[in-house]
Amino acid sequence: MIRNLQIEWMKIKNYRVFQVFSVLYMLGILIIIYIFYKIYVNFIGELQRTMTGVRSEASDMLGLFSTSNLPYTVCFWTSLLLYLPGMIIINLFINEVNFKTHRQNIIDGWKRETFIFTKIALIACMSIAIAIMNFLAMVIMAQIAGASITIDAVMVSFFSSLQAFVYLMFALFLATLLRRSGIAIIIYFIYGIIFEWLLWWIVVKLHPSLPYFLPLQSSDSLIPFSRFKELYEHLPATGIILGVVCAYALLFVMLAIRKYKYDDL
Amino acid sequence: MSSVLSIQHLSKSYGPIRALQDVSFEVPKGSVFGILGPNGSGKTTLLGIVMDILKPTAGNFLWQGQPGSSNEMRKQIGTLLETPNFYHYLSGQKNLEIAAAIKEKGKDDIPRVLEKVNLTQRRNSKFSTYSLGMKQRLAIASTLLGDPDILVFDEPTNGLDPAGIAEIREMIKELNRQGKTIIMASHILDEVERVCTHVAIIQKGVLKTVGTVQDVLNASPTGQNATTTSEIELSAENITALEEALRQLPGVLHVYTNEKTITAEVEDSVGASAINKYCFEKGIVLSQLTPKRKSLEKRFLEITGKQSDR
Repeated sequence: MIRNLQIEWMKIKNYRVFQVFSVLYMLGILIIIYIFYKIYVNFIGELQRTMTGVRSEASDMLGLFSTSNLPYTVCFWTSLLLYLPGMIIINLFINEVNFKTHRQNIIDGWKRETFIFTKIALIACMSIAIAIMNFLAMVIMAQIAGASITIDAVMVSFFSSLQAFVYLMFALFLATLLRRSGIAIIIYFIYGIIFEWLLWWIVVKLHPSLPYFLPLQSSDSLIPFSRFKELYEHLPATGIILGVVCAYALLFVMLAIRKYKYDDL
Repeated sequence: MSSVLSIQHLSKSYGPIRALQDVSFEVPKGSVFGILGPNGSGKTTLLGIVMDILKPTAGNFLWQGQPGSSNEMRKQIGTLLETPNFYHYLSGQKNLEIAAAIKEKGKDDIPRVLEKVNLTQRRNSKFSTYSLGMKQRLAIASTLLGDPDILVFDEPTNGLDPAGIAEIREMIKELNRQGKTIIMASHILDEVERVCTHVAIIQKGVLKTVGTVQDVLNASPTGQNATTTSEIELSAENITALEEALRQLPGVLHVYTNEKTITAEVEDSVGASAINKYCFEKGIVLSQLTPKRKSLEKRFLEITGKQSDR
């Protein structure tokens, strides 16, 4: 698999869209959390001035950047950018379809399974890279906010890599299914941003815990927004959510493999 | 002669459309095997199935006795299917490095294959900047990586200029002289006739005939190789008398009159000397008597019909 990943790297390392989106994403992780931090502490400072008449130095009154909450706050905000690597995955796969290189790789001697396993391995590597980026963002924000990094940060980083894996596998599954870049990206966004929330409103009436079992929501639930954990009062135990997330990850992996293995290319 | 590729009862349907219907044939080792057919006849579908990018509806195939889906076997075959498929944002060199890595061949062979197709100077240019002919030549270079014993070409001269076409045809002949087996799909009759030793003619997904080019050319219009025929071009001072005499000669199947010559399609049992003797006895002195090789084009039209929607 290492050899196959090296071949995959040969394919994508000089691809301008991949380079630009990757840099944008990495910068985006740092920028989004820093902007949120600045807006938040300034808002709190203003609030204090209104209430006490004294403009105090900006502070973390709600404790969003305290040692215990910081990993959740960072990963919650950076998870909003997961659509960007999802778009990269869709773009990389559909590029292969458009230029028929997915066929040529098979003609040259890869098994169909090898081709799709390599894409899944790439997603696993990207998920690990995203977790590392999130961890680095935590370290930087801890320095800025005066918090410390604990073992919680490692655990939350691990959860963020699982979350990224589900998001990216969902993107790959859509790409294998639709084979049209524009349609796949639109459906990816519409599902994640609109449709799953509509489903939330429907299934919550059946049982208050059911929304946490939706494909993307389950992985989001691994990293609840810090300080407002009471909003997640019906959230099942972390072990159950972990099981659900792994099940969805496996399902998307199986669907993508099945689609690629048996279809005409 | 052992077979390199054995195709057994292959069928492929796209919904109600039957792209291939129960096609079976063997490709002998060391041959240049042409798969000939009009556009849309199923040639590329057939090659797509044997390269495992399309799934057959029924039937199977063996590459040198191994199951067709064996990827190890595909690594030993150089294939150009339909269009050159490369990463448009990478250079020719980088694209070949990817192909070589997948085939598990080293990079050492890349300069040789680039030189062979005259692309050495443009090896570092992006694939997207290549002309159609250069793209086709890069695809041919990719098939030559690792010096495979079996080569599969789908319309190999597509997009090439006349000099390029001649080069590629000569290269195919040269590769065959080196003992390599070449399977080549084409709708260009002249190309198949010039290059191939064997031919299979496919029409609307049905295998119409298969064999050596000579056997196919010699088969009678009704097929089944029952009677082999050839063409003879004749001329005489009295062309009308010649035509009349030929029509009465047993073994003459058709007589076509041009302005100054007559072309007679005759059974092979009727030799040129017999015709000469017959005409002389009838008082006709021939000024021309040339046995003609039947063209594949004529044979192809006999098999597939003359309608443009063949």
